Amino acid sequence: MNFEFNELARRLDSATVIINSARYHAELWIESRALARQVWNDSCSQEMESLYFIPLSQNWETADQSGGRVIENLQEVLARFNMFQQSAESHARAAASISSAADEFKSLTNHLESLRDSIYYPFRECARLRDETEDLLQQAEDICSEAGI
Amino acid sequence: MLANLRPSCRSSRGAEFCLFNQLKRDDWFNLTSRSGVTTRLKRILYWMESLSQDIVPKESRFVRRAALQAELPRLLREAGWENREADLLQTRLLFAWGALDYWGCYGENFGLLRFGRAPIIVRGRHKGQIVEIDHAVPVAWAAGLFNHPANLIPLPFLSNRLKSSKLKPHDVEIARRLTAMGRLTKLELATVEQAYANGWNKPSSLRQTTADPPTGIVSVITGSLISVNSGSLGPLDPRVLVARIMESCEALDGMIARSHSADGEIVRVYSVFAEQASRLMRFARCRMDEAETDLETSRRAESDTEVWQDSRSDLWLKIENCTKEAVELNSVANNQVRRWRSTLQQMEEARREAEEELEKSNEALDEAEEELSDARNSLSEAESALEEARETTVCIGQDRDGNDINEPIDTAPYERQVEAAEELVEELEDVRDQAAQRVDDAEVELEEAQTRESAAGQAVQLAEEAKDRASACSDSAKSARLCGDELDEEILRLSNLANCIARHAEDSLLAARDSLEHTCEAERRTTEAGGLLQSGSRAFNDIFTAHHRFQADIETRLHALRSFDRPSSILASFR
Repeated sequence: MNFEFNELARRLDSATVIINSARYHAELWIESRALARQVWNDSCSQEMESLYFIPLSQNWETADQSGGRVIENLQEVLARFNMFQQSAESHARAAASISSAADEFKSLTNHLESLRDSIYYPFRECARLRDETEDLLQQAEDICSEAGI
Repeated sequence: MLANLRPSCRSSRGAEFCLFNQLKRDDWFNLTSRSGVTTRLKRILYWMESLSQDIVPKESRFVRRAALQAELPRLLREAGWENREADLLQTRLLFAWGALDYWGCYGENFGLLRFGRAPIIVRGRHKGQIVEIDHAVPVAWAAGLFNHPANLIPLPFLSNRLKSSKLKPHDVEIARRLTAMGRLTKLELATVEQAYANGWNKPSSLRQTTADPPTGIVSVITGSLISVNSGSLGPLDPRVLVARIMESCEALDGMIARSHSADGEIVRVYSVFAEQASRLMRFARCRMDEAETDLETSRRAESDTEVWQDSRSDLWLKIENCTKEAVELNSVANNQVRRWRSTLQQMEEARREAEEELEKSNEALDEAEEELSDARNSLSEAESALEEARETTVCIGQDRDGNDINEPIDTAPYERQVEAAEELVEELEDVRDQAAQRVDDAEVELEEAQTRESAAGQAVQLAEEAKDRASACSDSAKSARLCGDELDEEILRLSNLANCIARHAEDSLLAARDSLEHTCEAERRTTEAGGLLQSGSRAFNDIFTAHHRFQADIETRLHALRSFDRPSSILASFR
């Protein structure tokens, strides 16, 4: 059972690094907005700000927050995966023990059946010997009775 | 003909159709965004691979490449590409397809390409990095090649970061070939060649110039590069403004590219997690089923153990009965042996008495016969004496003749003696007959006693045989008891095993429930992440839309600025 959790964790880390890199670039861009403000005159600057920079920033913030929360969720999912793996390993151990015990149980049942059969033999032998004994005693009675004893 | 095919058709014709759609020349030149051109190339690579797999499935890379080489010229021609441009594009596309194949991107990541997502490299020294599509000749140097597919190249993430705006000899060669085809102006080619000559083919430490790439700072009059930091230009000079605006745009492009990359990476990671969560959910459900089966096994084991416990009780009842019967049988057999031995002794005594009686009777008979013989002799003597007496005369005188007168003697005494002897003989004969009778009786009695003795002997023998049988019966009962003891031990082991199975089954069920619970939570969180991802993607889409609008607006403004710069060139022409 290989769930490649390390690979998942690595990919999650890689995604986090990329997000951080994107954040860094976004910060760079926000800094460069000041440059844009300098380039244009005030009215043009305001127009650009309201038309592009504010929506871009707001959307970026939303996307960034969503990405961050997605990463948080995925980290929780990864933690759950790890817990799952522990439970699965525990289950696998229990299942292996059950399998082994069930095999032993089956072989023991077979042994018990042969043992039960071996007990029936003395029972049959006892019955046969009892009949023979009674027969012999009866013969002795008959012989003596015939002889007038 | 191709246009009539259904795009969803997943046959070679379907792949051909889709590839044809993505290759359309006019569509390419209408693309205005970086994401648009990179996504389109990824889709082309996807459909190229699909087409090669449809034509020659499960064949080597070289065979598939040959198949693509045979198909591409026709498709490019039908898509509007002609002559040398088509040849160059074919070479570039095959190179890009081969690179992705070499990196193993047509495995599990294959589907990502179809949706314009970046695949992950799974083979080679770049393993683990995503593949980015970038411009071979940077747009900073040749804006005209922004949406030309021949200028696009797949690169590993880090290599792309290292490449940045650097130029390589074959990049310059591509620029030359595209200039020859009319896709790049001579001015732009001069910019590229000059940038290459200025050291933009080397790491920053080896460059001849330490300035940043002079994005867009090309004199519209002379076509030569103008440094932004040149002291000869004022801050509001249009060329400086263009350069500064381009800087801001580049920063935004970087942010957008990174955001796109981050979005793509999160989507990929999310899809892997979602797939894993789904797999684990299936796995957890299977484990629950297995745990239920284990529980069923445990119940069966407990039930079997109970059956064996009942069976044990029955067997022990039989063993006890058997033992009891064997003991009773032994007792009866021993009593019978004692009884018949006692009878045999009595019979032997009776036989001995009969023998003694016979001996006595024989002796009495002999004695009676002897007495009878003596009596008979006496009778005979008496008769002889009587006979003699009868013949004997006594001279009692003489007759006249002188003869003696003889007179017989008196025989009466003799006769009485004879009579007495005869009576004695008769009496003794009776005695002898009685003795003989007693002998006969004694002989009969002896014979009967001997018969009874023999019967008693046989009875003793049979009783002893019966005793031996009863003893063997006891041994069998003991053997059954030993087996019963062993059975008890084994049933105890069986019970312990059943308890062990029950314990493990309980553990198994608990673990499976835990697994399912964790997986459910993981799936819930994944779903939540999926929702967040959608809202994030929507925000990204809004960013891209705003970015496109911004680019168009900036382009207009830059055009205005360049136009503002134009009069100097017009004046120069007048001059």
